[in-house]
Amino acid sequence: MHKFDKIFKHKLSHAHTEVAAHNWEKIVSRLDQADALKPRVWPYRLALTGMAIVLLMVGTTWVSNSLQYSDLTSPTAKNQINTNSNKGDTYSLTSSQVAIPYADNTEIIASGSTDGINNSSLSNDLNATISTNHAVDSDVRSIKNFAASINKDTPITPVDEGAFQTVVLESSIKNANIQIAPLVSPNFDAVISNDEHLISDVIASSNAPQTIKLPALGYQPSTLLAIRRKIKSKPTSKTTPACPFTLNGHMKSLEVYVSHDYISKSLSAPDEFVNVIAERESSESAMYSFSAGFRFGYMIAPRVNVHLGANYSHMNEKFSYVDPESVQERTITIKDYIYENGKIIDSLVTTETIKLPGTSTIKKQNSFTSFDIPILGRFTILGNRNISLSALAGPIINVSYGHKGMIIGTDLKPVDISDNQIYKPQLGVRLYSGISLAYHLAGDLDFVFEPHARISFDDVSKDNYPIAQRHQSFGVHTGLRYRF
Amino acid sequence: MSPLIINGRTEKDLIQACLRGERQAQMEIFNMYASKMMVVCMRYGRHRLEAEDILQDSFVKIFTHLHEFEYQGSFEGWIRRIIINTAIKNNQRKSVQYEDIGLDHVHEESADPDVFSTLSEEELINIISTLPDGYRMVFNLYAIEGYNHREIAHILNIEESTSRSQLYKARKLLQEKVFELYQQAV
Repeated sequence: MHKFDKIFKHKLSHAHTEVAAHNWEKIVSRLDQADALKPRVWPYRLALTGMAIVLLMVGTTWVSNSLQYSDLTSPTAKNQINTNSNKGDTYSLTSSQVAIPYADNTEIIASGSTDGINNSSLSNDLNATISTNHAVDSDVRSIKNFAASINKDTPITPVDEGAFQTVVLESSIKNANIQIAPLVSPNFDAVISNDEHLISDVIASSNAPQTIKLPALGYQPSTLLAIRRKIKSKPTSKTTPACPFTLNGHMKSLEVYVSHDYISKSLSAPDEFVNVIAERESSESAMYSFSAGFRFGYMIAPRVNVHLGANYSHMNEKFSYVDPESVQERTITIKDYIYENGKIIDSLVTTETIKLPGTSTIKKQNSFTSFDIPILGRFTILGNRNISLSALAGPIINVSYGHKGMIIGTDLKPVDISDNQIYKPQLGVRLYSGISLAYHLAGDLDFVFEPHARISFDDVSKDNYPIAQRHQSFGVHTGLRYRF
Repeated sequence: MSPLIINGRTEKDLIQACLRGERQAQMEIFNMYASKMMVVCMRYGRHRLEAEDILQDSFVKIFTHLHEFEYQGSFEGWIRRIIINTAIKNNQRKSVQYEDIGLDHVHEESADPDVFSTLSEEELINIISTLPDGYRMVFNLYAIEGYNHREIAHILNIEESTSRSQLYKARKLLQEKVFELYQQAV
């Protein structure tokens, strides 16, 4: 080092000087302003969280009210009528135990009694409250198919064949020589037997309540109770199943959607570039962003769908930068009048040129576009004939990533981003997750409302560029889904 | 090395408190470094008012970007870098013209240490602040901060030869002013 430089460095490296108090006051004032201008991300997150909580609460309530047929598999229901049952015992199944999974406008009570013939027979009242608004049909031609499909291992099987509904209860009544007693409600057929073919025949024989004496059936391991609801009111629609995503089958679907997106951008860099980050944050501001796309869906199992599609996302940003090196030249013309005795006798024109530094502002609209292929799995958490709630997740494979506009470069000067010097041409794989709420508009058409997040684990900036930039995207898809 | 304790809190505690937006902690950080950093600002600024502007801009940046400090180096070093960057940026806004002169056959005079011993730190800062903007920037970056000409050329977006010539002229001017002051003093 030059001796001269060394002396200066030595003398000034650890020098101190007084700092006036007004400096801190001005800093505080500017910090207060900066705090006031900070983007309020938390209300957005709070709103999303709140929405998720509300959806979950609604869903939970819904499940408990409408989808409790699964409770029938519980030991309580299964064992209520069992080998220890005695003559005269009374059983009452609650609605939570015998609830067909479709909410009803009308409640129907079905009662049946059994009267034993031999010593170990039963005489029980069986009450079942069934809530349903599902359209049923008086057509019983399919009942044989239903009866044939009864699985004895399943304590209760709600069967929806589109035309009618039947609930089958299985109990473990041995030695049950059972007689079907008169049914109280004309709206139900109730048959108790351990012979599924017999049930089938009984139900198929008549739509009217009836009493059928069943022969002694020996020591069968179980007895079946079939309750079939008949028509009470006209079907609302024969073609609208309660929730299309909770049924068996290989349903296909196509959905189209658009979404307003909120992009959370983060910049990070080594300490020496902190100034660059500050300049970038002050020169770049978010504008409207959106995404749109379509997805094909295929049901691989009840409640489980896979989706494959294409998604286009467009993020806009405003770049505004005052170029300190710009100089504006202004020419000022001054005209002076020369008076004599109150009259103008001459004029003098002078022209002056002044230079104004830092008067040029560069304004650009930056845009970042991505074309992605989402591969998603969707699980229908709950659903009824009007609405269904699903959770989605899966990878999004980026096909191309485009960018144009300007940013502040590492030398604190504006640079063009159209080429691939700063940003990657492809982003790799990101994660998509969302909650999809579908309203069944018509037989095959759903309105879809889907809050979602696209999570990036990698930067959009190139790995060798010192300022790392990462985007996380949040939005709400709204669109239509057609099932075929 | 034991951590620095200020009012019962370590520097890291204060940084964490600043991140939570505690004004008191921010003030303690400011009080801790302001007097030292003001000297840096005065070296880069033309006068005290400009130095104060640089100091204020820098501390606003420091507090708004504190979350980017990664504890990889000293906090003071991080602050100093922000001050210098802000000063450079401030200087660029003034659209400084960097003059390039030939350096062929240039002979630099050596400084007499006795001359400097009579000058106070404040006098030296005043001498630096009288330099033209371009000279002052290059001299500060090269002589005090320790950057080489290639780095300075990159930082200021000038040619390396320009950086060399500016440094040469800066030294020459400084020597003249130092001798002037010395002669006045004796």
